Amino acid sequence: MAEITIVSLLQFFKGITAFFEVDPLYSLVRLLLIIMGVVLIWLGYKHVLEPLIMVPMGLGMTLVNAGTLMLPGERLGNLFVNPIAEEPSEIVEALQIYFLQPFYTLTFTNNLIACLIFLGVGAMTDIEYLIARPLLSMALAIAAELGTLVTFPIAVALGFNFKEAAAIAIIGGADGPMVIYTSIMLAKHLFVIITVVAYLYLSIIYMLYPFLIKAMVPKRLRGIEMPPLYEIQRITPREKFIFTIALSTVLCLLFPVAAPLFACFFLGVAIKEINIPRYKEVADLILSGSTMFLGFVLGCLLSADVVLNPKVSLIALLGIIAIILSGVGGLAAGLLAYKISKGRVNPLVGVAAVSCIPSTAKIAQYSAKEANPMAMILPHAMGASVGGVITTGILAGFYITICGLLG
Amino acid sequence: MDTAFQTALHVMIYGYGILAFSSLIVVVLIIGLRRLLIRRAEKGG
Repeated sequence: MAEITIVSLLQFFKGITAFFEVDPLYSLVRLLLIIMGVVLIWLGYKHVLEPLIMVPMGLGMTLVNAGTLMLPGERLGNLFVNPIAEEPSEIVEALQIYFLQPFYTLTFTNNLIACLIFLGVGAMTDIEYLIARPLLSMALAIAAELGTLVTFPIAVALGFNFKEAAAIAIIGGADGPMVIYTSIMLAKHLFVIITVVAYLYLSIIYMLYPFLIKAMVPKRLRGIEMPPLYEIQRITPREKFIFTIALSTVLCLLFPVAAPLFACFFLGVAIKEINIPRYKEVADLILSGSTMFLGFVLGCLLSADVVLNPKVSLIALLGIIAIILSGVGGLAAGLLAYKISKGRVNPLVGVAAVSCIPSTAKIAQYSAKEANPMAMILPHAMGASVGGVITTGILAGFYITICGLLG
Repeated sequence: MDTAFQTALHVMIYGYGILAFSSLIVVVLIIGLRRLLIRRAEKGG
């Protein structure tokens, strides 16, 4: 009688009983994901990783794996979100059961979330630096796409199909929204893993790139001072606004498949340049809200069955290869620019061309200041960073188009 | 060499070409538009 009572009591705690009702490996991974989520929350809280994304992601990861239960039909699941619902009837049913389903269905599957984040990023981006030095910025940005392009054949050699390889390779662009957009367009079944890997690496870029910089650029070159941009060219707000409209139109004309991203990015830039405070507040709110929900939903999508995909370790490996190669490409181009300009360009501007705006520009400035407290290269680095956003967008458009042609 | 890998290498090279060409268009657009705006400003006095 006592035994029956304990068993009956346990039935109330379905999250715990679910541990014993399935394959032990699955339960072990579930437990590891709960622990990993707590670690991410802690690292985000301590600002070791980017807290804006890591805290909600870690929380989502922990809570969805803790809140797993046996659903009708003897299948394990949760009440957060069902990413595999695709048929209209399944989606309608899921919308009534899973509390995050409306957000997932209406913002993830159509890429709205990536576009909203890009709008917010655009609203805090100043294209003045790109307009002042377009040739240097774009040349460095091309070189900093080394990882985005070279990772593609490596991924194919490792057994990924063209679409999967392209979605993974875009991690080299170090631009979260671009990764979401491309992976949803090309490899929806791997989008959660690719996006989580990308955001994890983007979070550790602050730790990774300074090592790369020290390995590739001697200290005397790191401290080179660059002239303030106003000594080169002065750009008026009217000019910036005209450039925003012209650039966005031309880029959408060239790559209609990436047009939603370009449109939202330049809408953000236009909001900044038009200088209406209420618009700016809306853009800030959109960026903060979208980033928080992106992190939380991504975390909630990270259930044990997603992580047990055998491709996860390969994607993690290719992701880090892409990020490192892009950094190497940017720095190598920075060193070349230093040679060509006869010492007037600080090579660290090259690393900022890996688009992760504004993180890489901040890393370049921080490393330059470490070598020489008088070195101020941030405006130049921001120009390269904006160039990087554009080149990553171009490559996203290129990959989506060519994968469509290759089938 | 594996056909898929060979195709991927071609895609990579095409990618560089498309990237360089598109970036060149962006640079030419910026420089051209800027010169046009400066000239208009000078004409305007």
